[in-house]
Amino acid sequence: MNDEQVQLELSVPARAENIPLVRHAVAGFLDGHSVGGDQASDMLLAVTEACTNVVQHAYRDEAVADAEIEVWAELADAVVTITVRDQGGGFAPRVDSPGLGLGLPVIAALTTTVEIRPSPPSGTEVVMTFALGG
Amino acid sequence: MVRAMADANDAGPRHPQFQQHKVEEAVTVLHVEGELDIGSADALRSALDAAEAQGDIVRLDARGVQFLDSTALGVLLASAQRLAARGGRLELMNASPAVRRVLDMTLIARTVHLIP
Repeated sequence: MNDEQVQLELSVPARAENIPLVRHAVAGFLDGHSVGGDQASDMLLAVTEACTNVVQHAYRDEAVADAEIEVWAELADAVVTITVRDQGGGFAPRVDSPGLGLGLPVIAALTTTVEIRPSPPSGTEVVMTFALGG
Repeated sequence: MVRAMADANDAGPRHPQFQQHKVEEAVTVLHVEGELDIGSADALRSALDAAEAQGDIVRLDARGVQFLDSTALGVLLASAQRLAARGGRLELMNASPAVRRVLDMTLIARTVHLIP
């Protein structure tokens, strides 16, 4: 564990109206560590897209009363890592998707790296990194 | 001299004539403020529906838009396509650099008319 590591951790019900809350929390975290401008905008858009995917896709097959979006953000060694995790039913595409299907391409365009992986027992986590500077 | 030219014109082939009219286009301006994402997509859709009902050209003034994601882009794109289908257009004016960046990234700028 790096001494300079700074973390944010929050969990909100997986509902559309809570996504701005997540975005503002991450914005506050970034602002508090002097990450601003286009880089911060990219991160806020990416975390919004990831959370939107959770709301639109993760919990659609089952009625999960406590369906949540879990978000971690950390800053260490000039790299911001933001993880968005759910415990829904995976990341299968849906033919009736209400969006444009641009979420993942946008995330891929904005991040330094992105990894989408299962989050046992049934969920998904999206791990996005952003190298600062440059 | 003038008379002579008129006679000459009468006798010759018809000259094309051109008239210019200035037509005022009816533009419905929709001022939008706030953050546009999945949480506000329905409200944005309703506002655009109402603006589309007013005419074929809708100009969204995005000066007060602080955030825009791909869900909101989908709403804009659908509106632009509906308007284009009836000969109209959706214009976007006063978009911030961050909003323009999203538009460029997703190539939606080809469908929505950007006004500086």
